[in-house]
Amino acid sequence: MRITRVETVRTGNIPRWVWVRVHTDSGIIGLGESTGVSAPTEAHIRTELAPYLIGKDPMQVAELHEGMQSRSRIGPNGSAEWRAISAVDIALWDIVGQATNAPIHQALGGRVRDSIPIYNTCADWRYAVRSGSAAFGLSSPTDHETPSGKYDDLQGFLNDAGTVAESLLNEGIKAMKIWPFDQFVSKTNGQHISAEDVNKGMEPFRKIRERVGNKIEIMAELHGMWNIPSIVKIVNALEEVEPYWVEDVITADNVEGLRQVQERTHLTVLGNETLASAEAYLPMLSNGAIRILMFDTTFVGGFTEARKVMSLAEAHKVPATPHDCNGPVNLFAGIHLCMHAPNAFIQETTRAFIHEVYGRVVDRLPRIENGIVYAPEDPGIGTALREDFLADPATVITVVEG
Amino acid sequence: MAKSPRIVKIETFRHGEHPGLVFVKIHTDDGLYGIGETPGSAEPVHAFIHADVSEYLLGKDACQLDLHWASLAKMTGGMRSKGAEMRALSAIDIALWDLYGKRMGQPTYNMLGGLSRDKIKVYATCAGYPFYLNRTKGPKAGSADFVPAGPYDDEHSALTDPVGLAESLHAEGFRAMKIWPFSQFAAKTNGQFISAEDLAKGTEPFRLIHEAMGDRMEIAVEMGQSWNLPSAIKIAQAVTPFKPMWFEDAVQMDNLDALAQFRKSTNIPTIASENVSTRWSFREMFVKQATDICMFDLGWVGGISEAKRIATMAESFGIPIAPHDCVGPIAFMADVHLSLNVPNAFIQETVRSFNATWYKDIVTALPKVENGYASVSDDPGLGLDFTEKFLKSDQLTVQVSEL
Repeated sequence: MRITRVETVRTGNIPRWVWVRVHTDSGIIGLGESTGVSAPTEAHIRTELAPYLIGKDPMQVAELHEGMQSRSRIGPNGSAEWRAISAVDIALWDIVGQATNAPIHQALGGRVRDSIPIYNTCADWRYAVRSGSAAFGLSSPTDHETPSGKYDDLQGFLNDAGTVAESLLNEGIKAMKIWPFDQFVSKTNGQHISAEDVNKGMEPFRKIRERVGNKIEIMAELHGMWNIPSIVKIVNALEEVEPYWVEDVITADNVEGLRQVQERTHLTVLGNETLASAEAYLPMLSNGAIRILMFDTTFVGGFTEARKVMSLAEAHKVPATPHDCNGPVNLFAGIHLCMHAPNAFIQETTRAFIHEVYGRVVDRLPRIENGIVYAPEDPGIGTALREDFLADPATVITVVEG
Repeated sequence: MAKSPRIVKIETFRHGEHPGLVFVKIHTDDGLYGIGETPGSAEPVHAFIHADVSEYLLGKDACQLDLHWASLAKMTGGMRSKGAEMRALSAIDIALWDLYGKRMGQPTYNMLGGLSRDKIKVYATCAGYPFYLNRTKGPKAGSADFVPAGPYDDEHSALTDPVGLAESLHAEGFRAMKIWPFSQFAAKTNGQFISAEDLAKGTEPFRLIHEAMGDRMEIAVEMGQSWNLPSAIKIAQAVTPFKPMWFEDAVQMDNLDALAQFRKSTNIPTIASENVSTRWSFREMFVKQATDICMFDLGWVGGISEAKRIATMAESFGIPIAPHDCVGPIAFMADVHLSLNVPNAFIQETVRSFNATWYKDIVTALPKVENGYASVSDDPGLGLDFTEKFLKSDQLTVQVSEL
């Protein structure tokens, strides 16, 4: 089999998304995805990776992954180049799966489980549209005031967190993630949090506990926006409501700082989906800076790096959990890895995205029932871009051919 | 408060002859402009600057360098990235420093805190002419059918006539040089193993130069992140009898514990690394005691701002700096301004084949390299501009974002 054509796909409606479609002479098309600042990602795929890939055998993923890395001259940290490699690597695994008539979890070496619990990240559909550089949906007043669709969990957790928790429990979802402290960051650019704001940020957590007690797990997301004294204040306050984990307390740039936070709380510190390559996770694993590892398949280097990261975490007795709140292919990728890796225990999902956005883009969604997601059964990644999405005037497709 | 100049236009240039370089020009509403540069794959950098950076930067106060650095860094894929985003940020930062100096009527070294010295020692990196040029690939340097393009095809000479090369450099005033004779063997095993025979062949240029010139010429060993740890240690042991100046990029920079292990294996200084970006990565390197000397490349470390911050941090660890060149003329000029300012700088990289040829085609002024030292003029900013030849070239493509 040979790669004949590489397409990049973007949509004006959601500028932070980019897909890659790798075509082969067998007719199989592999689908990959990344998100974030996507213009340079798309440019790297088109100008550096595609010319290298055309004519190559897509089944030799390991070789192509090495080749793409050596053509990208990058270190072990997130960048447009790593996002580009991630997207292509996922597409190559999709081809391997389709060609061998196996879902990717099978191609990776098989399942340890056929389902896994999910949690809900309490975003709304507009959150998918924004670039993510602002305060994660909480930066402008209009974001607070304009309700969106049926699953407006962002407004929900800010104003009426108890009701969101109840609504999730009604769907069978027993864990939720919220980030109420983000709204205070811009006052000082994260250099200080007042006692009053700490208390205000605690309100949603308290409302959840008051309404549903400990029937739901709460994940506290901090998005790496605060300095260490502010984080310690927030984390100390959070101990009152026992969140399941505290996520991205500090950016992954300071592993020592991360360890200091973990040493000063009994809560579980989790980090960090922004890194790329297995090597990038070594320092935080080896110095005990995190108790749970999170990665994003579309940032870390695709399946090839994600499986290494999960194995590395397993060797350190650290559970690993895939990030979503990004895109539909990323969600499928996380699910395949959760079926395969012994140290997976929960998969992130965003119900607002699944119900209001993902279905407009891809032809199949994962099977989720009662808070459990099931192993995809179709060969490959198990989803593809919809024909009507590809034909949409807002969809921009670029083609590189041999 | 003084009226602040606003950024009104960002131009990027690509040149057919230099496909691996991105040039940036930032204009303010008072008619001034500054220029910057970054290497590496160019398309993603152009895309990031015009799709994302311009949206943030246009209309902003050109003097708020620290704020712009922090804001743009948040848009990168990770604060330690040396990916397209950090390269774009580096080029923008260099251009803003150039602009800042021009506005204040001072050379950039004065804006950084003034001269710690009026000239900096240089060493010659023995690259040939075609590095970073869009030339058809001919025979490899060192091979029998390679035809030198001129007197400074030093990569070839390093392999075929190392003593002649060292003498020629010495005659021009250089007292230090850098070569990479082991790199030719790395591809055989992707750096996983070096045979005793290749080890001996790679060591030969060091032996020959050292025996011929002794202390008159110091030789740096560039290992180019090409080898695994055991191979890197073998190479270091083999070259040590010839008293090399340093071992550079001995292992890949994605595992600084391995670099620390390498450093412990030798008494010759370890230097790292132009392949590392931003203060957070260097902080980890310094805390792990993984290097003796700090090298960075302004074109992707995060520009002049970040390089200055890293140099200051290095000073607090007792670590000297030695900025990287072998990339492009604007970054080289910025390097020398920084090397003249930073108290803990001691040597600056330069490439004589570049200085003599294509660097001059692109910019109007270069650092003066004389008797083994580099210095710069006191012209405002970085003190250079694009040449007419460059701007009028039919190989030039300009992309513009403006208010």
